[in-house]
Amino acid sequence: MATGKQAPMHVLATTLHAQASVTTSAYGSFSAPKAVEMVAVRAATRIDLLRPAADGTLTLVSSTDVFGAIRSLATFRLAGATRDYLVVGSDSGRVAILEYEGSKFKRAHVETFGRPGCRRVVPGQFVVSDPQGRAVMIAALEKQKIVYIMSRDTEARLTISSPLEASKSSTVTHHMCALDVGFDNPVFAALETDYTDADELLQSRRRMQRDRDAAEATIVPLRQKMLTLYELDLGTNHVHVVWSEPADAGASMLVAVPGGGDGPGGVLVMCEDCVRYLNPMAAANAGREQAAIIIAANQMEAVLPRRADLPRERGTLITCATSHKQKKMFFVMAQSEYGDLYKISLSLDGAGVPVQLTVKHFDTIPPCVSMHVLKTGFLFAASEFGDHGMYQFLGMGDGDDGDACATSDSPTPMHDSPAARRDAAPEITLRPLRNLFLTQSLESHAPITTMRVSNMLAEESPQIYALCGQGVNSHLKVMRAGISVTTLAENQLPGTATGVWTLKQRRDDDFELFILVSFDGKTMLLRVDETVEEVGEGNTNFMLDVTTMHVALLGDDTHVQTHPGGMRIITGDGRVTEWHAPGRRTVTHVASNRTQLVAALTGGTLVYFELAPDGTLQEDFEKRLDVTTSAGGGGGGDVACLSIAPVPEGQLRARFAAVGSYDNTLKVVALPVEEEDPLTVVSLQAVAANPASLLLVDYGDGALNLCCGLSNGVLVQNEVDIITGTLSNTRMRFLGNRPPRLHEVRVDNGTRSAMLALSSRTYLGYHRTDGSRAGGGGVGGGAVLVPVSCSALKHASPFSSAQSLDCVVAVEDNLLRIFSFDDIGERFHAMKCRIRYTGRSLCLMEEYQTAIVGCADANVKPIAEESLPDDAEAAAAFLDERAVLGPSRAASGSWASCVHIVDPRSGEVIFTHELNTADGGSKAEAEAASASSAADGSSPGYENVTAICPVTFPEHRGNETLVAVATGRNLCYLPRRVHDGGYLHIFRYRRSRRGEDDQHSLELVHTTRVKDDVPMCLCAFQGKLLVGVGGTLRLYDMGLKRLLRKCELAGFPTVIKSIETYGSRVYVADVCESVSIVKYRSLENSLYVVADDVLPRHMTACRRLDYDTVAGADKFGNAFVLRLNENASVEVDDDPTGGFTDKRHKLDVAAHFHVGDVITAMDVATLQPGGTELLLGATVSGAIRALVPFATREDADFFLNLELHLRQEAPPLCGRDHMEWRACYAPIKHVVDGDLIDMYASLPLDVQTSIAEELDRTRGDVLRRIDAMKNRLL
Amino acid sequence: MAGSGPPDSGANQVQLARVQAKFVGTGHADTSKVQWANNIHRDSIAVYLGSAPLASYLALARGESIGRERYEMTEAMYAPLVGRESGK
Repeated sequence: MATGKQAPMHVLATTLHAQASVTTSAYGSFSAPKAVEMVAVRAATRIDLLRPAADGTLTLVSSTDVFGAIRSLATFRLAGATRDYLVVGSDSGRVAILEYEGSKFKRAHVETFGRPGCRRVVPGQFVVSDPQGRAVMIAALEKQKIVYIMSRDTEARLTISSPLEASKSSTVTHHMCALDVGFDNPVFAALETDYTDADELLQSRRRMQRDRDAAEATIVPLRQKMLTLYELDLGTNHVHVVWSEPADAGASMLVAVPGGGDGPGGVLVMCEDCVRYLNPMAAANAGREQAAIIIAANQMEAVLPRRADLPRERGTLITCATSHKQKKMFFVMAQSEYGDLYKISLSLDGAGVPVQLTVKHFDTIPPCVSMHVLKTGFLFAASEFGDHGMYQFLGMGDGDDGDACATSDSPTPMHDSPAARRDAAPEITLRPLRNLFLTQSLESHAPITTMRVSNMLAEESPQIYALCGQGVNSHLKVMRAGISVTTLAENQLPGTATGVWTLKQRRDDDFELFILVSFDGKTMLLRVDETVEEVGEGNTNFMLDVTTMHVALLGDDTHVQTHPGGMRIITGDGRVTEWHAPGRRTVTHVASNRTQLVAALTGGTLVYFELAPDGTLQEDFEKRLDVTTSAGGGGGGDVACLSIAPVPEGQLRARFAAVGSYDNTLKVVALPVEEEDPLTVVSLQAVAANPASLLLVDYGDGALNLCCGLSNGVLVQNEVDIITGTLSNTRMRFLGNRPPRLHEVRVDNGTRSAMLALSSRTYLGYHRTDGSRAGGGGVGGGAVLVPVSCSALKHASPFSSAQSLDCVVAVEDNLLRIFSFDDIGERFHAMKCRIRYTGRSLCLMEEYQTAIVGCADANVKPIAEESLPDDAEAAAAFLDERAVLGPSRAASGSWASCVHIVDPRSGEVIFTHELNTADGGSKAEAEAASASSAADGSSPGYENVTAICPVTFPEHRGNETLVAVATGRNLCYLPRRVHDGGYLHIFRYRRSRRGEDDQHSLELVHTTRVKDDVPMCLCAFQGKLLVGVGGTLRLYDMGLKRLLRKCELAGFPTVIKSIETYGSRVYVADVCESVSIVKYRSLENSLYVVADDVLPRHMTACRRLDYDTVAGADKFGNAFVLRLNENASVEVDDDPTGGFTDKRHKLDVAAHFHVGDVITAMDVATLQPGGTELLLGATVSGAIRALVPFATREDADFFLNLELHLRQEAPPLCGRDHMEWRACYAPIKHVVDGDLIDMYASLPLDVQTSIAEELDRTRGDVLRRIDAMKNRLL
Repeated sequence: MAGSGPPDSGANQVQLARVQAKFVGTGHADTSKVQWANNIHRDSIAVYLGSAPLASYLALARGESIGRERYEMTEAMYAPLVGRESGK
């Protein structure tokens, strides 16, 4: 299938689900004095300000995309100031000092010092600030260190000095901290290594260049890590080295100990397996020799308690630490790479001199990149992978509670060899949390290792299946677009309900007291107190034997119930009056607000009522209007739908009502504001189909919106001018295959109105206030319409109760549901299923509605070998506990791996096939099979699953579905990639019925040993199996005892990462060398390369878009689309020589974009009924991104122009040029940055207007176009 | 490097010398294979350490914590040609 004319591709790159992984964070008071706040950097590119409430729940206050990579953060506070500044070390070659002002971070200073990019000699990798806020040091990984002095001018504004350099060439910086020296000259400590010797030695001796081992033996012992102190002399304004001494070879991190008046000062050096304390500044005034003695005398060392299950060769490394000081005490909380928290404290003697260093196991939580102890008694832990946590301190781990504890002896013997330390280390007893209590878990999908999108479960829109997390904390997540809801109650009703309403007793009540459910010919009244009770006929003034059309509270306490024959008005003091529809007409529609009511009668007459001061409802007989005839269109037809505007704040009446009629028009009717005004039609709009439902709603921003659901499933949204009633800004969107029914509900704790649109899918329309928060679905800070994840509903009403102020009561058939929205900012919600190890491969069995997951982890013990309980519930609890404590480590080179079958409906693992277990598993079978073909003679070897794919072999096995599983054998990535080949297992997928349930299982058919390399990817192809074995593409056919090699194509440069096929073409992605297109000629049974790429792209994901086009992503964070041009494509297909000429065409770049995040999987899907097809990419930081093609060239031009203006008007926060960032590795091509476009709505109004004018449009126009673009996504 | 004027002119030489002094790893006529390889590796490590998603990606592949991965990469800056595990 050729694609016809290849049109140039123009796409919008946007974020559907924002990244949640935190790469660094800072703690301080940014928005107000004494505020407890945290800044979390998400995937290096977004700055989020988080504020914990008193109960420790975090709320997102602001979020800004910086379009650059943030590498380090520090806070500082000028002397006497009350708020903190944020210093950002990024890849911009500039130091950015940010200040929180208004509702977002703004630049206070940006100073350039070098070229942009993550270069090794351009500072930005480390930023530290003097505790007294006098200076900031910003350092590169190698050589450069720059100090800026911070002070303030006469108007108390921050000023920044010119840079003071403290560079030392050929020196690598490992870590830095700023010592707390009180008000002495600021001192910065750095762990450094000078590599001059290594380079010279390697350069001069040829033998070493050839023999790695000899080089290692000679060069490594020469390495000398130094702890160097740099002092900033504030008097002479220069930086110099005051002290430099060798540090331990395993030193990895420095943590300053509070000094000045608050503590002894000095520094903790975190080494592999131990912690050392030393205080070089204690002897600042002593002579050189004297100083050395004093410092040595002060030095202390304590070994780190060690996990019992660690293999002997593994050390324990501190990877994260935070210090906390209170008035009378301080401690350092440090975490090891395994997740164990240590509380490190110093005990002081009477003179304030430290005498003992204590390291005590505190608790165990998943490993963090960053932690902060808050002064409110919480611990914020930003996990490396997976969900972040807020923990409350329950205890301080004081006293002897049996936890492993190590102290420094006096005088401290230094353990110089790792072995000695490991011998001396006390053993940690792993236990559940004791000193901490998890109060909130912040969901993060990071890292997504692979993803597929499919509507396997046959729902309204497709589901996203993603393997998330690492190690024991891994999940298969089934993500669905939409706001998630919590069902609070679900009740059966005696019949099919036609409507539901909620009523307060009085307007000033907090909660609704009644729920009215209407059925055909009767009404049910429920009273909600502590319990829900049905109210009988005698106990209420409501009519229960009619079909209720509408119930409302008017004024303070008047209830109005409408039924086809008329209305019943019940005043607060119990008086009941009736109004009957005149003549033989009946009421067809009613709408009311706080004081007014409009009823439509058959024949199209509107009747207007107003609340009298005594609480009764007065019909104004003069105020009737034949809407359908007055328009002259339909000729006396009925009203199709009706709505009345809410009464604006501070006024008595609303000015407008809206009517939809069967002649496909919407009319806005002006209501009488003064006594003598008549009802008049003030504006009219023609629509494409019969209107089915109308709603006039004010989302809380003062603007009036007219929304109309049409019978063809389209929702039309208009803005109504609040003075003249004219309609403008029309937007249309298809919602589903039922006519949308619109109902007003409340969000934001009942403070603002929102619209619930009920079609075959449910949507919520509201005004988003958290302007800067992107994440798809709508323009920041504007009206948005987002899907809600719940079953189809018929009628809904807002409901507030003690549990939640913004609940919704809804009916569908004979079901009454009460639910509340979880987080209306979230666009996706996920159901998760725990898997045993890091997910590596995923395949969806559409036929069986199950997912097969392959997972594997290196250097851990298989979970099946541990005391895994047989009982499913106990086993789940065991795995949950393991997820917190981490896996049991095994000797290096071992693997734990398994294959799961998961039922995505229930989110349960229904079958597990564990490899590498002693009791059988697949290994025995594998070995038996391979032994028969070729005797290995080696040890069994460890297997790890690399790929899974469903395959059929029609020639041999009919249409029976088989599952191919590729595994590596004894694979090891470092020091260099070594392996022992691998296996290809063929399983039969078996579904059998046992009782009620289906049993799914995999049954091994046979195993094929692959000896030359590890099979890394699989793909079914023309009734055979294509396998990427290292750099060889190989075609296998089914045999009786093993797979049979049919043909192969060797010579791919490194390792084949993924294979896609279409027709006779195979699209092969190599891990280092981009994509090649390979053609298979079945006649000659040969594979040959027809096209490849000119750039060496390090592929991480690849997805075919059409016959000539593939999309891909590389590990440096680029996403691109490659295309074989039309002529070449034809030539390839018509080549009569069958590849004999060996001519390789080159792929053209159709689009290129730097995402700034590693995309690990790509898939194509339409997430909205009738929406656009999107290219989705899942990233290692847990984001889901999308590339959306523009519908027209004009659209593309508009967004390109808008982007151009935004680059000027909204330059990135940290000083990185937007264009440079998006073209970080290769020029950006045909892609518009949707995240930048999102910034438009959050710009100041005058800037928005001026940009719009430049584009020859109005601001509303621009917003609408952005909105329309976004609405095509979800 | 933006060169104006004929190649090997004095101005170019001065400019090259400046770049070489400022940016470690800028090559010259006598750059040996070892120096070149060392520089390439150190530059790569700087990118891996500087871009957080890439560091996570590498840690994920190996099944180590990001902290350990970063530590080992920084250690490898010393002599990148002599094996990553040289710290042990």
